[in-house]
Amino acid sequence: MRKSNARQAHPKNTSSREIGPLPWSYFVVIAICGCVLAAGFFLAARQHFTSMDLGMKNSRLRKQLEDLESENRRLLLAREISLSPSEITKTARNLGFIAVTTPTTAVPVPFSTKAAPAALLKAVVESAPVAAAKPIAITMTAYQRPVSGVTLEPSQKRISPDKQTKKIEAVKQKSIKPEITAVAKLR
Amino acid sequence: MATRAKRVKKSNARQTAFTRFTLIVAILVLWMGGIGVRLVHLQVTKHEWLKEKATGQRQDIKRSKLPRGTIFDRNERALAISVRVKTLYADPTTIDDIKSAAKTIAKVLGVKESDLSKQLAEAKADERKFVSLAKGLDEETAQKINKALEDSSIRKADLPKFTGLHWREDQKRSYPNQTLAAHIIGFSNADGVGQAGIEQSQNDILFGAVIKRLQERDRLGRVYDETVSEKEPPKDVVLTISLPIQYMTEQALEKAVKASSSKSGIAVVIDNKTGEVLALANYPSFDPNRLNEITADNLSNAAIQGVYSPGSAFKLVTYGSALERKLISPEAEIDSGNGTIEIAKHRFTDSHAIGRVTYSKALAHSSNVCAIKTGMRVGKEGFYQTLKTFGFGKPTGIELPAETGGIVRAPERWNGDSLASMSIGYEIGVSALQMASAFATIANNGVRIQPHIIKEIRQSDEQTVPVAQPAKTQVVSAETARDLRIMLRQVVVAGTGKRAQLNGYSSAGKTGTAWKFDEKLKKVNSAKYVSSFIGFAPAEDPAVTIAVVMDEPKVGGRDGGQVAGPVFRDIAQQILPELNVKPEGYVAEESTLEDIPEAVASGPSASSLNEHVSDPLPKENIKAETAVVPKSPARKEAKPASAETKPATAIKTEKSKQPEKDIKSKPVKSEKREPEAKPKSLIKNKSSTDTKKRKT
Repeated sequence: MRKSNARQAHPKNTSSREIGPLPWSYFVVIAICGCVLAAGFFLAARQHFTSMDLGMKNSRLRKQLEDLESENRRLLLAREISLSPSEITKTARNLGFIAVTTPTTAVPVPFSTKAAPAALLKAVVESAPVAAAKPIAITMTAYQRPVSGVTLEPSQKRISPDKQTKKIEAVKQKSIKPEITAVAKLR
Repeated sequence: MATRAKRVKKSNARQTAFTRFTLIVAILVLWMGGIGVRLVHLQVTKHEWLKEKATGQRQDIKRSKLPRGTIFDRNERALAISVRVKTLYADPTTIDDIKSAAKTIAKVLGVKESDLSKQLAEAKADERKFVSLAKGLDEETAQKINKALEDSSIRKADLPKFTGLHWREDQKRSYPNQTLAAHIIGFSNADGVGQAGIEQSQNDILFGAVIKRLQERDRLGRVYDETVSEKEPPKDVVLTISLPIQYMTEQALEKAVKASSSKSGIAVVIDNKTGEVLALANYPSFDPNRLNEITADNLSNAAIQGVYSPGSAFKLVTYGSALERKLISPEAEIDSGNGTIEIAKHRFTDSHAIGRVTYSKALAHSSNVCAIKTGMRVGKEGFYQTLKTFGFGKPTGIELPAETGGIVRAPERWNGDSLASMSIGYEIGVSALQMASAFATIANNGVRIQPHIIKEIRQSDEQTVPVAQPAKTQVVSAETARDLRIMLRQVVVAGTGKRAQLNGYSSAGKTGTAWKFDEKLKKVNSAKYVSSFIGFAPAEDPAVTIAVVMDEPKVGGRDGGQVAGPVFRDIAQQILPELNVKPEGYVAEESTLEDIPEAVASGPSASSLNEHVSDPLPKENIKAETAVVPKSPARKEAKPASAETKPATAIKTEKSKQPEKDIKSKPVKSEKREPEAKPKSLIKNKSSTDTKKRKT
């Protein structure tokens, strides 16, 4: 009995293992899983590379922003330099403009100064090398005692604005004529 | 038998297969075990090393400094700005052939090949990784160098494509207007730390923090991820000064200093109504772009750091104090007698006797006698109180470093003649800004607005940070202020300040002339003056207050009205149209300009001469001065001698012997003596509280 059973069981098992066909759905499932897995890997890889690409673009843009800010500062500095008084003066000189010499200001001799003009000039030469470098015209006037009974009324008169220009021009043309005038040119 | 043999054969085959299978499995287990052991070894024991190596391959840490904040004027003109620059450096440890590399680099940079080769070789021997080759290059130059150094065979992520060479980003501070407003702006050092002016006082706001960038790189060195450490970006500072006004002020001051051969000059322009400083000029000045040319003489911002005796300009406070207490009125009369008055055995004189006059005329003629009499009526306590309310004796609070508070002694330390001396502007030390603020108070109907120079602080996102509002104090009543304005107007119209008359506008102000104390002579020197004119315009509705102080004018007139008055006029006439102030139609009648002499000083008693030394700060102390706001200066203010009628030397010999002796016998401690070492340029005094005994 045992033998016959064994004989019967063995061939059955063998045939079921070797011959039994796998259902096609099994392959389909495997294929789908494989596709999903492959697609997942593909998507992950794609996302990774996209992220890297974006990161690189971001980095480039950030650098570009910094460069632009830097350039903005540089241009601002260049504008300020070109608008600075020294640069304008230099440019004007290059264009042929000449600085207008202002008329000599009358500087009266102080009432308390007892020193001789020569001594004064000497002091100037010694103490002011800048001033001595180029000729300066100095007008010294003698001190005059003020007229007694100076009025408290304002000596400045209010004039109409339209007459103002004419008045100013007229005043400018008037020159102060001091009693003693000495003009010294320092070299 | 055959069947049995077959069975045995089959059994052997199975055995062999099993043995083979076991062997393969064992090999696999061993292989995997080996891998596992190796993995454990790498992951556990060599974890740190591997991590470091991996990070080093893909990560790059870069430290850079944010550009320092910009300083603007009120019209958005940049006064100080930082720009990015590049430094080319070499890492000699990665250069194999130093000589050929040096040859190429030297050719591009235009340096001597032998020197460069030697430098690189030495650095390589010392294993130094940083040798600076070219500093402060702009982007354009850097690109040219990159192009010139490009070696196509080199695979390198960063530029230049040359082995061992790299760029480092730095920043450079630029001051486009050079000397203009240099004392206000100050400068910062190579590390981007402010050393003077706004750069120093607002360093925390302007300072650009160091940021760390963590960059992730791919195998080609391209950055694909970047993490920047968050740091607050520096802010920009907008000042109240106006560049055109500052320029006009500086030009007028420079011209006047040169014309009068003065040692130095100061000019301050304040908007009365807001307390905003529109211009603050010192001459001589410096160029913050050229730090090697800065000296102690031109670095000091004397307008706020220097102390001087204001002389007659201080009579504003004397008369203001009396008017406020209703002790006098502008049209009331006062008798100046023969122009001489003696207080505590000290004789004060006027330059000329004016007899019985109104207070208005007394101020216009700058009578010392009348001012002293007025001061005496006010009394010690009242006068001291007025001084304090005007803000003398303490810093104004302007946002600039090392501002002095001036020298004001408490009444208990006054001499018998101190009140008289202070009534005419002696025995007191003030800064030009304090004086300008006092006059601005009168111009602003008695309301003192704290002078300030910062308009706003701006963040990078264009938002403004609120700035503290300037303090407002009612110093004198509006009525007193109006009376004082009328009196000050007379000074310009018919007094010592005629040269401050303007074309087109009315002006008012007060002249001041004081002799300086000579450190060498140990007495006041009648040849050394501090001449000033402080005023405002237009007189009726003042828009600006201008203070001009000239130190030691040598040529021509030396009175404040003669030296400083014209500078006031030059500045005011130029800036009033700039401020859109409508002309009033006044014309300065130059033909009637007859200078009324100003009493230089009926100086204080000689005994106090040494206690009020008008000597400046020492040059060697400038750095410390600018870095730290000084405490109450431990020095004395200059005390000028009497007027022409009584020479300073005479007074000195009469009364000042004892104090001099005291100085010699009792030397002051080194810290307090230090400032005496070397006088600085301007009218800077330091008052000493450790004084000698006075003779009253």
